[in-house]
Amino acid sequence: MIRRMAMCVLLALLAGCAQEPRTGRHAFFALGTLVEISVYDPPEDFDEILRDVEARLLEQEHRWRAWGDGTLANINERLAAGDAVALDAAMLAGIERARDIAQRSGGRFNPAIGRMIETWGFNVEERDAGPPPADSELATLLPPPTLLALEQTGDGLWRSADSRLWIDMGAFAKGLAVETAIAALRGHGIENAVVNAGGDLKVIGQHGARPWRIGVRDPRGDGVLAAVDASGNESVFTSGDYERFFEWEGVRYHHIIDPATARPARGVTSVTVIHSDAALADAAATALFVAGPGEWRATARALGVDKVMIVLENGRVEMTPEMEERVEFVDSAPHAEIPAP
Amino acid sequence: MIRPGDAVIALAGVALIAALSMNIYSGGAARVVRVTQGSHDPVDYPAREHRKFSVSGPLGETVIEIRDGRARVLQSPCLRKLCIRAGWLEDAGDATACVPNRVSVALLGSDPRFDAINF
Repeated sequence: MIRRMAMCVLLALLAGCAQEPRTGRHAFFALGTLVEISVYDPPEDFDEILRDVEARLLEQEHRWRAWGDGTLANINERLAAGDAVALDAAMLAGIERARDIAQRSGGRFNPAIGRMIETWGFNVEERDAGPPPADSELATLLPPPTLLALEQTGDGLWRSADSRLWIDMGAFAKGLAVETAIAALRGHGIENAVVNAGGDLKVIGQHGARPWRIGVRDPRGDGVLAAVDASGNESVFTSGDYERFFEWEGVRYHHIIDPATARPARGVTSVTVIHSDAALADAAATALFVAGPGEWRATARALGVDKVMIVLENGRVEMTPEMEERVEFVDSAPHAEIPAP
Repeated sequence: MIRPGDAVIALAGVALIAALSMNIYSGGAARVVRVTQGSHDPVDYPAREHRKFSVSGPLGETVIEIRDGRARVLQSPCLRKLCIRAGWLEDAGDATACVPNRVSVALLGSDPRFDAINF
C-alpha cells in the first residue's frame, strides 16, 4: 500500500513539476538607456528576433535624437537657421501626435522646449558640474515656444515661426519606440512579452497562467514601492525627479522642466501612469508631473488617462480609484489618498 | 506491513520533494549574475562564487563584486554613480546599469519577485 502511495506521490510530483516554459531575457543599450526584452516561452529563432527588434530601436533612437547626429537634430538645426525642411511620414506622424497631446495637456507636456532642456544641460548624458542657468537666460525662453510654431509652406515643406523652437521628443519618443518594439515582436508571432526601456515598459499577453508582475520603484528609496499585475496590452510609465538631476548649494535641480517657468517642476517626486498607449503614457507622466499636486487630476482627465499614481514631495501618495484597484504596496503602505471619482 | 523497499521508496519521495522545492520554489534567490557590456554577448557568473572583476566600457573600467548570491557595482567611471548607489542587488530580477559606460548587472533566478521594474 505504502509503495503504491509513494509511487503515486512521485508520479504526481513529476507530472505537476513538468518543466514550465522558460522566460527568454535579453538586454541591450538603445534609446540612451538599457532596454530589456522578456519573452515567455520564446521561439527557437529568439536571437534573430531580438536582433531585428534591437535594429528597429536603434533606428528609432537615431530618428528622434534631438542633438548631435540624429535626424531630428538635423531638422532642428535647419529650422533654427530659418530653412524650410521636409518631414517624412513617420516624423510628421510623431510630431503631430505629440502636438495633439501637448495641446490637450495645456502645454504641460511641450516637446518644443529643447532650448530650455539644453540651457539646463539635460540634453547630454552627464551634465558638467556648475550652477543652474541665470534667471536672465531663462527669461529669454519665456513664454515657451510650442509645436504650433511649425508651419507648412506652400510647397509641402515645414518652417519654424519661432527661432527658439527646438523639438525634443524626450518625453514621448521612448513611448513610440516601445510601441515599435512591441509591434515588431508581434510581427514575429510573439504574444507574451515585456519591453522595458530604462524602467518604462509595455507588456503584452501574460507570463503563462499569471499576469506579468511589475515592481514600481520607490522614488526615495532603493526598493520597490508598489506592485502592479499587468497583462494584455498595458504600458507602465513613470516620470521621476531622481532620473536626472544635479545639486547646487544644497538644492536639487531635476530634468522635468515646467515649460511655463523654464525651471524644474516642483511639488512632485514621481508620477506613474498605466495606459494601453505607451506614447500617451510617456507624455502623460511628464505632463502630470508638471501639473503638480493641484492640477494633475484635471490634466489626467483632459488626456484621457485614468490610472495614475503620484508621489508628492512630502511623501504622500495620491492616485485615481482606477489605479488604486491595480496597485499593491509592497513593503510598507504610505499614506495614500484616493480622491472621489 | 512496511517492508524495507517501501521505506526506500518513501525516503526517495521525501528527498525528491525536498530537491524540487529547493530548485523550483527557491523564493527569489539568485543563481546567476549576468553582466552585459554594450552590444557584446552577456556573460554569466555563478552568484555564489565570490569574485571581483572589471569590465571595460567607453568611459573606462566598471568594477563589479559578486558575493554570497549578491552583486554590486564597486567602482564606475561615470559622473553620477547611480550604478554604485544602487548598492547590493540581492533578489532574482534585481538589476542596475551604468548607461554612460554601457554596463549592466542583473541577478537571474528561478522565481524573481518581479518580471520587470518600472522607474
